[in-house]
Amino acid sequence: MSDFQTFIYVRIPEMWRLALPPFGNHMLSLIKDTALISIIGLNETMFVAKQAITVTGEPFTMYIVVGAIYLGFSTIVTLFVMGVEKFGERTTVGAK
Amino acid sequence: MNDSTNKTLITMEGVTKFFGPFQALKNINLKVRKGEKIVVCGPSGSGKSTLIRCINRLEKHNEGQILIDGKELTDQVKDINAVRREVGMVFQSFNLFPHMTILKNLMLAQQLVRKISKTEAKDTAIKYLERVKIPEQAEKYPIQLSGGQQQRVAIARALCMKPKIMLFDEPTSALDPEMINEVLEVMVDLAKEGMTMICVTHEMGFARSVADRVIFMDMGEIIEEAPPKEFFNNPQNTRTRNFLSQILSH
Amino acid sequence: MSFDLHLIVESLPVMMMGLGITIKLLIISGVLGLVLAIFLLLMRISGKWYLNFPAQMYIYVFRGTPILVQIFIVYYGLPQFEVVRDSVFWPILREPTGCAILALSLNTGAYVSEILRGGVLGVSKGLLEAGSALGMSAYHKFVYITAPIATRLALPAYSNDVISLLKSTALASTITIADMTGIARTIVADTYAPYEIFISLAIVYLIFTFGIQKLFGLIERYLGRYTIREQPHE
Repeated sequence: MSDFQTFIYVRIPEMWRLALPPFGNHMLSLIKDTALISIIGLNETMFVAKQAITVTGEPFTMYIVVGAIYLGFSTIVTLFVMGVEKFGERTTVGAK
Repeated sequence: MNDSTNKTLITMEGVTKFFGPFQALKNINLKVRKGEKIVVCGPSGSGKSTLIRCINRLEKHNEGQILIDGKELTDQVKDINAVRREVGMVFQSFNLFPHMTILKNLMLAQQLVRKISKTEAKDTAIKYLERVKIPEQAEKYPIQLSGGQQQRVAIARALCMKPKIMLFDEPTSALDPEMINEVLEVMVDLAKEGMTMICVTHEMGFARSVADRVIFMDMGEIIEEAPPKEFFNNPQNTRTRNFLSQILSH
Repeated sequence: MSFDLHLIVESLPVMMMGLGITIKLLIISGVLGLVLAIFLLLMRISGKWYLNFPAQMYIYVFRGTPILVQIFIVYYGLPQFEVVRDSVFWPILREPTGCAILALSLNTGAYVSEILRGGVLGVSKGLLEAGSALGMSAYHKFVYITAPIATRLALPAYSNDVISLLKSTALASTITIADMTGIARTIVADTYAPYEIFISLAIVYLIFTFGIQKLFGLIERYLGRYTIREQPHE
């Protein structure tokens, strides 16, 4: 095989399976870091919560809701990565 | 023979063991008297390791009875630890504690389990290191020793507990060929001193010279049990003959 | 745009006045988080579902939500309740520093317990069997075999988490704490020179991170001295 073919048929299929779990973790960090955008005043979830608090006067409730939204996102990403991981491992599971 | 040499140390009656649906041991009956040397052989997956691992309850048997020096092996943690104190074990992969020096490896269980003082434990440790001929390695870490040296340390570690019975689970299988003899020599010396031993091994030379009985296992059963002369010269069972022809043909 | 070096020279010492608070946040939450992590770890490996399950849920929630949200819940959220304001913890929770330390500890505890668990799972089963065969109790096996080996295995990942924690302490500035970042933000508000100030702030964190890495490198070398095979000398 040429270098290019080795890369396409051997390295990539091996590689993505190994890279997936850390990549999944990184996705989770990234999602959570989006909350930081509120500090510079962009109109994201945290920022909206802040505005809501000025109206309702219930910071605990509002931030718990924000937490729950993020937890939902994290869960979806985790489940998705787990699913893809399972798909990737179908060739590595031995005979039963 | 007087009474003490005739005493039965290990009794297994109708012992079975399952791993999930797989039956690893089928109706095992075995008696080992004090001072006897038993060699267990058989193809891989025949249950020979499981057999000796049941003797110090690294595996729980499902049915039947195991008595070690009169104590029955049950779920009682106290009894299990009491039995384990009397039964030394040597593993295929040495299993020395990598984060402790050789000396500490030998002293740890003496101090924790036997409640022996530090100085006494150290004396015992050095004595057994001399017996396995590597006292000069005492302050090193396991990784700095060769495989043969590590296995001799593992034997010394088990002996430090002054066990009544020694179990060997393929002690030479992980070793480079040139290191097998130094480990076997230690085992032969131990046998000469009258230690009760059960060895799972494929070293047939060792079996011939040391064993009182050789046990052949296949598919979880004891197929044949005989003194080495009979076992090697006149095996009764076809499976034994097949196995022997395979491992002795080289 | 001009880059005002003079401003950096002037403001660096002022920012460094916040270094003490940053270090305080890092060390106190680091230690409290580690203690919490060990408790969570013991719950996780206890083999009892009623201990394992709550610990798992805790870790799931604290790893699944942003640290900023956690800080805000503690600082802005908890005083919403009269019970909290009347409790003995109020003197701590009234202070932003107390809130930051609480939130950071709760957060890092969740991460570190998973790191420690990875270390525990990395201890080879054979070593524990050898311990059992020598008659050692479960407690002795944990203290003398599992714990030291797991510590050594978990150390590289743990040092990464300490660095994350350092970076998380910067968020304390969002709840009015005058740590290095807090001071930097004040200076920026006064001088309108975000580039100079924030870039020099970043460099200070970078040097700090480098120091932590070096420190853990030394600890790793010390704890891992048994993993190095010397030249065999005859």
